[in-house]
Amino acid sequence: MFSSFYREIGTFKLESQVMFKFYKDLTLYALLFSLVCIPLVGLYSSALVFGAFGTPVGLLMFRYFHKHEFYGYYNLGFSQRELILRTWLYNIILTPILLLFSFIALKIWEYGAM
Amino acid sequence: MALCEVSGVHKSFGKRKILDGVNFQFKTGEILGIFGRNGCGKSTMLQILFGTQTTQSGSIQIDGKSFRLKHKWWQNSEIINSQKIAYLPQFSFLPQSSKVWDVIPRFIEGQKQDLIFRAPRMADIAKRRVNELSLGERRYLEVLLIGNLNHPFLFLDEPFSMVEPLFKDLIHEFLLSQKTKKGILITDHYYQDVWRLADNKMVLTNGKLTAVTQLEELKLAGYLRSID
Repeated sequence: MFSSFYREIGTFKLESQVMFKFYKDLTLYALLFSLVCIPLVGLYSSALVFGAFGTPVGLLMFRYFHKHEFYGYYNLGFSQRELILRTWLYNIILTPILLLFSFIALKIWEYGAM
Repeated sequence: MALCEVSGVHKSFGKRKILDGVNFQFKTGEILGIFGRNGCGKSTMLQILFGTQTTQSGSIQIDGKSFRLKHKWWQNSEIINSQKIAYLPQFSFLPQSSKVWDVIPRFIEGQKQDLIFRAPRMADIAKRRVNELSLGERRYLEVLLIGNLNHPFLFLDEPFSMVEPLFKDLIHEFLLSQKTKKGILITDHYYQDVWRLADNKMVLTNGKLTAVTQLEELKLAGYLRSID
């Protein structure tokens, strides 16, 4: 019983590591895209751009630079759809936090300007 | 012992028929070698069975259980989700900027990692980044990673490509050691290596797979001009 419990923990740990690697690689491009958008749409809107469009843009970049790496994920049982949907979900969850940081950053900026 | 049965796989690109009702079966404890000229559809066939390429028709059963092959690009691959087949593509799939010792734990969990870290010549390879490895070293690492997964079937697309003889021998030894618990399908233009390893051999010509037992038959199938 304990051995199967430890095996499941090990599998969960491995899956989390793999998912995190994909999330990190793709979200880096999504963050870069939102940073580029700041001068165009402002700080708040770029946080929303990150949540809504960051993942698809990140995916395009990932497919361009790391297309073959998908086969590593496939071999570990992850489908492309699962990887993308999970990443998008995490980024949507992250958006309110980014909005909060944007709000705090703008307030600090305003007080600093005064 | 697990059995993999493939039947009626068809694939066309426009009017060009690549696979015309491919049927074969093999089981764990067996190495199946598939030969065929460039562009005859070997890699396409492996990708269809793995679920990264669509097919017009066909089915795959593993241990009596049917898995749907992908007919439309948006469909999920049941084979990938089931983790019954591990697939080594022709190209390198490893993250190029990562250190090898960071890559290994992403594929293999726990004590099984030692099988890779302690494999011959791995001590030197593990210290470097993937993009610092030679083509042969990278291929050897990829074969070790994919071969040590728990999947009962292993599809290898050109595992010997650009690999030096010493690494080839190591790959041979590794595959023979895995044969006891896995069914292995190999396709490679280094036909002598595949011929030496495989228990059963087939040649893909005009979209159909035919069993071969003599090298002479590869010549008759138009795959070889002469036999070395």
